This record gives sequence, structure tokens and C-alpha cells, in this order.
Amino acid sequence: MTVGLVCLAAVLLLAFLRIPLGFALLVVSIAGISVVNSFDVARMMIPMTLSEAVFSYELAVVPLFILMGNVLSRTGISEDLFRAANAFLSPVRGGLALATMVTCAGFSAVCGSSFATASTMAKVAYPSMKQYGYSDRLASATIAAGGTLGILIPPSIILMIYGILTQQNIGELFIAGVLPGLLGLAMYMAAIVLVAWRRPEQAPRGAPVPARQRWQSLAGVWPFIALFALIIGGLYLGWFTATEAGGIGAGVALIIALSQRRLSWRRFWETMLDTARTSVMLYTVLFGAMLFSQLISFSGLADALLELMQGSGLSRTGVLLAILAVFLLLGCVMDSMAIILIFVPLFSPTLVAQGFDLVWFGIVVVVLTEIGLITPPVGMNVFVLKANLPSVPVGTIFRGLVPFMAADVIRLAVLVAFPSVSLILVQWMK
Amino acid sequence: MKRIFKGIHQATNLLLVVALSAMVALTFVDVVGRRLFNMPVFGANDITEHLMAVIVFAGLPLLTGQRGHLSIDLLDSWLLRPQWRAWHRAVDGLVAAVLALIAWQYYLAIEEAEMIQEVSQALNIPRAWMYAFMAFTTAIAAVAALFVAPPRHPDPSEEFES
Amino acid sequence: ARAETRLTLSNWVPPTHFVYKDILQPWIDAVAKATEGRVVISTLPKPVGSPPQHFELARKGVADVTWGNFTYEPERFKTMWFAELPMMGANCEASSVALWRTYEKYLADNAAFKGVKMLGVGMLGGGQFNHPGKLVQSLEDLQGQKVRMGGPIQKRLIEALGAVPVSAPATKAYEMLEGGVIDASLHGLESVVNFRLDGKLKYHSIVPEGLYDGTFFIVMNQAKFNRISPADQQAIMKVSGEMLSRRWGQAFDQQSKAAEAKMRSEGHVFGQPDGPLLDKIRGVRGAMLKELQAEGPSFGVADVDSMVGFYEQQYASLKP
Ligand code: NA
Ligand code: NA
Repeated sequence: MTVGLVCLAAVLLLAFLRIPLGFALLVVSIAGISVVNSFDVARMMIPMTLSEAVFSYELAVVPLFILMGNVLSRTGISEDLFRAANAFLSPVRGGLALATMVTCAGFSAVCGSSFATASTMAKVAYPSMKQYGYSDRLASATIAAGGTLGILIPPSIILMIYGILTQQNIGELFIAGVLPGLLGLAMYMAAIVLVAWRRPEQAPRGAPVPARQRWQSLAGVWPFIALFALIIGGLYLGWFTATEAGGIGAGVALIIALSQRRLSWRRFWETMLDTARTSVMLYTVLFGAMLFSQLISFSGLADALLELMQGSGLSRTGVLLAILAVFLLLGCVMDSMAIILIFVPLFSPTLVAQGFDLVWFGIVVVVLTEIGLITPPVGMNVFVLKANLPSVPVGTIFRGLVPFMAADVIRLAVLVAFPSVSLILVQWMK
Repeated sequence: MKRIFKGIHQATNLLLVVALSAMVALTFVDVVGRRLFNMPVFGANDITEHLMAVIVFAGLPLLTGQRGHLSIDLLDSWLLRPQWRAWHRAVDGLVAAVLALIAWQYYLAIEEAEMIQEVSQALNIPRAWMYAFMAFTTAIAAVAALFVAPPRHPDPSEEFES
Repeated sequence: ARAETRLTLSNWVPPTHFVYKDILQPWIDAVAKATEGRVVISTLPKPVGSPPQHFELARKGVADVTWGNFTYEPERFKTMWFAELPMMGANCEASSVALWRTYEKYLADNAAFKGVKMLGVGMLGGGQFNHPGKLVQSLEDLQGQKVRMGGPIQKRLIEALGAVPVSAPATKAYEMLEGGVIDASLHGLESVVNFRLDGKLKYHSIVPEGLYDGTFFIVMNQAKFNRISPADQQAIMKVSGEMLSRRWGQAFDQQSKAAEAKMRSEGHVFGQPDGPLLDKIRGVRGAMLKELQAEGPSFGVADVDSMVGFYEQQYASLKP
């Protein structure tokens, strides 16, 4: 158990010292397994663990969904979405921010990454909001918060990784993310309305769009709606597995892009290479995480944690709240992917022993890491946004995010108190 | 020398694009064939798994050579100062050592896979060939880790994927 | 007494699964008791590899004790193919013990098992046709049907019977049936209920003595075993070997019986294949036995026919 704790600290230290996360995990795992077992066991585990990850049909879901998102984001779908949302919402007070939020949610439905969602929207929506006199504070915070929807509304890279680590059905996780994602959208929109009402100077009204133009703008949105409906509908009806949904999604996205003449040979080539690059990056981290979870198992840390929780006299709810608090704290200082990869394997045995549903917990964990993405000191979405908008101070973005964080905390409480919000669609599906 | 590197780079890119395209096409054909024509592709999952292995291990040297591995860059304003240069060299050495260890283990796995006649689940594809490929590319990645350019301030939106 | 040897066990089913609860856990307790606490086996909180890797994990000593399915590594364990052929025995206690005796007599020195100490072997007690909508009784019933299966023997059978094999683990059967990916699925009755497929698979066509079978192992790393004192080695083998194989078979028999009772009470339909279909199945069995006999020397069994003869004689004598 001591070895496990030391290794946990070592991984965090090495990662912060800029050793690539996957390699920090690999090095510490090899060292740790050598201590609790032997170097021979550690080295022999390497090809077995890596092969288990790489020859996994379930894991092939990752590049396929990344590809789908890449195809759509490179073909201008996000601009079309924003134009349509704006055409309907711009006359309302705070309308541009509301349109941005709706576009974030829409883009999330084809993109599995919150950073990609945030940085795409920074390019698409920020200039418009500035043009109409929105405050930096509201404009940047809207995009930073909206970006977090990318990892809850399916598809979601985080949910895919979570599903693989905990052996939960990825299709079910995706379906479970739909309602909490929409709840998140609704609450973020409520937060915007509230800010616009309290501080009208931050969110001026936009110019109304003529009715005809409004309806025309919808034409650009259909491919995206069709694709989302196909994937979620197909998963819901059991037509295909998550991996197959990814393949179908990527294939249909390519066909749509081709038919709209938005896919040059060069763009296709770049999209493919970009997808491969991102996938390899994720796999390397996953290699490390899988070996590390073996170390946690060997070192007895997970068992010790389980005993600690059971011996603590905490009730079932107490255990849950303690785990939630740990994840919330981790979210303040760590990247969401790292949290999922390192800590979910550590806590999942305890959760299973207490009889918690791992699909539901996956959604809760994603919301927790979503909060982590926008809280100081380390809010990755804020940094992504800062990189796209160099003129906006980080402090301003964090201040603007306060109402959104409040919305997130309320949403978290709802999801924890009422698991059926996450699980009802999954139950209907069965 | 530069021409050779460029050639390898281009060939790897081609392999990545072809493998990924094949994966999409295969899934597409399998699902459509099964649902509409009652004709699934036997062992489609098996082929997908092999394509995935090809993508990940072919991409490993490229990603390593571009310093593309996911790293936490929170302390960059401090860690990218010149006095840390030796540290980054040491980190590159460590990455190279880990990759070399992986390559060595896969090299050992080739013979072992032949001995125990390790094959894939549905199509009985021998694993020894795959392990040879994986050992080879990981060894190249280990070399690439030693010759990669020193780190600079990156664009976080490219560096992270979450 | 203080434990002198601590061994790790890697288990890849949930701890509530009967293979762990009714076979491994009682055996772990029996080992501790037989060695008076000198050999303690602790189960790792999660498996150290995928199910097909479990033989290799024990051979390399990554985990000390593992269990798994020979069928997952078909080329490696061709020695075991004979026991997975059609009609090798529906009484799992008898077939598992017969397989253990056959292993001891014909296979214990075979190169395929080098590096591990075999602690026990087991069978399924016969896999069967399971269908959501109809009873598979004739060759016509199988024409063009997509059937989920695993391993080369089942594939060969399905193809010879005119159906379309779809290779997938049993854990995937539910969603594949749900999505129309498959029309039918091969399982032992126990696995229909334990994978919660009884809501879907309502028709069961029972081939007497089994349509096919599966073979399993429980092994310990040989080097680890050698380090245990001879007295404790003996004590361990007293509660392992034939006894553990028998425990395996009894647990499967009990599960299958309970599963059948449950499904009958749920109104499932049970039946048997007709004569021509049975003849065809027997034909595949005969052809494969002939091939195995010819190939035998390549996997270190000089006379497969005599090995199969011994197995069948043992099975017949053990079957109640
Ligand atoms: Na998404
Ligand atoms: Na944070």
C-alpha cells in the first residue's frame, strides 16, 4: 500500500515536471511493479498490457469518433450551426451568448473533446460577441463553460475511456450522457439569462434577423442533426455497438462532406493524419494508465482503500460524498483525462462494493471533471481559451465563470440525488 | 540522410491514412452488409484490431519525433527557462529508454508467439508478425526520442485532447 | 500459523460468478486448510490481463495462479481439441474428471503445458443451439442463420451445418441479438442464464451429450510450485487435481440443472435435433477425429485415437 501511495505521488510529480503523462505512468509502474514483484514480471507485463490495449475492438471506438468530429469541424459545420442559432436568438437580451451556448451543445454532439469544442467556438462566436459589445467576461466565460459540454453530450472521449477502464458499455454511457448534457445546457442558458438581467451592459441586444433568412439558416444544420440522430438512435435501438457507431458516423460524415464539396483531397489527408496523431497520443497515455492500474492492484492500494472506506464507519452516502470531494479537489489542480485514467481504477472497486451503478458514476465523474475544467487554479478550458484569445486576462475569464460554476454544482447535486436523470434512457433502451 | 527521413515520414503518413480509411470502410461495409444484406464480414473485429495496432505503432515514431506526446504544461513559464535544458534532455533520455525497453520486450515476444503459436481469435492471424512490426517501430521511436528538438511554448489546444 | 508462501490469483470473472464463488474460493480455502495456513492464495482486485492471456500470465509468473479457457488459444492447445468435439459428454462432473485422468495419462509431459503446474481441468457439460424464435431441429432450420460462436471447432460445425458463423465472446451475445447481428447463439444452458440471455433465447435444441464442449484449466506457475515444500505440494495436490476437476464439473452441473429448471418455469421450449441433423453433427465429429489422429504427432500426441478411447471409457465409467 505504501508503494502504491509513493507511486501515485511520483506520477503526479513527474507529470508536472513535463515528463509526458504516458511515460511518467509507464516509468513509475515499471519501478513500482519491480518493487512489489520483480523487474522480470514488470518487463513481461509490458507487451501483454500494451497488446491488450491495442488489439481491443472496444478501444477502436476512440479514433473513429475523433475522425467524425474532425471531418465535421473542418468542413465549416460549426459556422453553420452558429448562424442558425443566432438567427433565432439574437433579438433576446443576451441572445448572442445563448446562441453560442446552443452552438457549443450542438457541436458537442459531433465532437468528443471539450478543448476542441472550446477552441472552435472561440474562433466562431467570440468575434461576433465582441462586435455587439459583449463584455470579455461574459463572452469568454460562455465559451469556456460551453466547451465542457463536449465531454458529456455524446460522443465523448472521456466517457469512452471511462467505459473501457470500468468495463461498462460505451453505448449505454453515451445514452446516459444525453439528459445530463441537456440539463447542463439548460442551466448554462439560465445562468446567461440571469447575468444579462442583472448586468444588462454586459450583454446588449443583437439586431433582429429577417424571418426568411432565419428559416434559410436552418438548411445548413440538417446534416449535423441527421448524423446525431443516426448515431444516438442507432445506439438506442441497438442497431450497432459504440465502435460501429463510430465507423458509421465517420463514414457518413465523410460522405456528407464530399457531397457538399467541402472535402478536398488535401483536407481529407490532413484530417486523417490529425486523427491518427490524436489517437496515438491517447493510446500512449492509455498504455501507461493500464500498467499503472495493475500496479495499484498489485500494491494492494485499491484493497486498502476499500478496507479504509468500509472501516471508517461512513454510511454509503458518506463514502460517495467523500469520493466526490476527492474528485472535486483533484479537478481543481489536474487535467480531466489524467484524473479519469489514474483515479477511476483506484476508486471503482469501492464503488462497486457499495453497490453504486458504474454507468451513473461515469456521468457524475464527467460532470466533476467538467467543473475541474473551469475552476482555478488549473482550468484547462480557460487556458485553451486564453491561447485563442491572448488579449483576455485569465482572471477575467475565471470571474465570468462563477455563475456557470454555480450552475454546475446545482447540476451535480441533481445528478447525485436523482440517478434516474442519467439512467432512465438506458433503462428504456433495455 | 534527410531524403531518407522524408521518405520514411511520407511512407508512414500513407500507411496511417490507408489504415484509418480501411477501418472506417470495413466498419461501414460490415454494418451495412449485415443489416441490409444479411452478410456480415467474418472476423471484421479481428481486422479492425490489427489495423488499430498498425495505426498506433506506426504513429509512435512520428508522434515522438514531433514531441507530440501528451504532457502537462502548467509550469511551462518556469520549466521552459534555459536552465532547465539539461532536465529536458534527461526526460528525452528516459522516454527513449522506456521505448527501447518496450521494443526489446516485443522483440522477445516474436519468438515466444511463434513458440506458443499465438494467433488472433477469429481469423487465426499469427501474432509473431505483428510483434515484429511493433518492435521495429518502437525501436525507431526510441531513436527519434533522442533527436527531437527541445520543447517550446506550444499551443495548448493542439497539445491537449480531453 | 504464519503464511510461508503467499500466492496471487488472477480472476477475470466478477467475484459473484459461480466459477469464483463455488470453485475457486472453496479451493483457496481448502489449500489454506490443507497446508495449515502455510500457503495462502490471495485474489488480485482485478485481472492482470485479458482472458486469453491467462495461461501465459501464469507461465510467466505475472500472477501465480490463473484459470482460463483452452479454447481461447486454439493453435497452442490442439492437444485439447478432442474434448471440445461434439458428444463428449453432458455430465460435466464425469467429463471433467475423465479429462483430468486423460491429461494425467497422456498429456502431463506434453510441451504445451511446460512452465505451469496443472491444478485442475474442466469442461462445460455440452454447448447447445439457443434461438430466440424457433427450435433448431433440422438442417433447414439452420440454413443461412447467423450463429454466434467461438473457436475453430464451433466455426467448423456451424459452417458444415450450412449456417453463418459470427465470432464473438458470449458477453456480447445480448447486444448482438438485440441489434439483429446474430440469429442464434451457441451456449451451455448455464451460460444462457448467467449472461442474462434467457430473456432473449427462448428455444433450446439439445444435442445428446452436447453439440460441442469447452475445456478449461486452473494452473500455477511451475517455479512457484517448486518453491513450496514437498509436504505442502502434496497437501495442495490432494485438494486439487482430480478433486478440483470434480468440483468444477459439479458446479457446472448444478448451474446447468438450475438454469434448465428456471427456463422451463419461464416457459422456454426444449427439443432435440432430428436424425439427419444429428448424423451431420456426427459426421463432422468423425472427420475431425480423423484429422486429429493424422496431425497428432505434430502436437506431441502419438495416438489420438487411443487417447480419445481412454477418455470415453473413463467418461462411461464415471457417468451415473
Ligand atoms: Na460530445
Ligand atoms: Na480546475
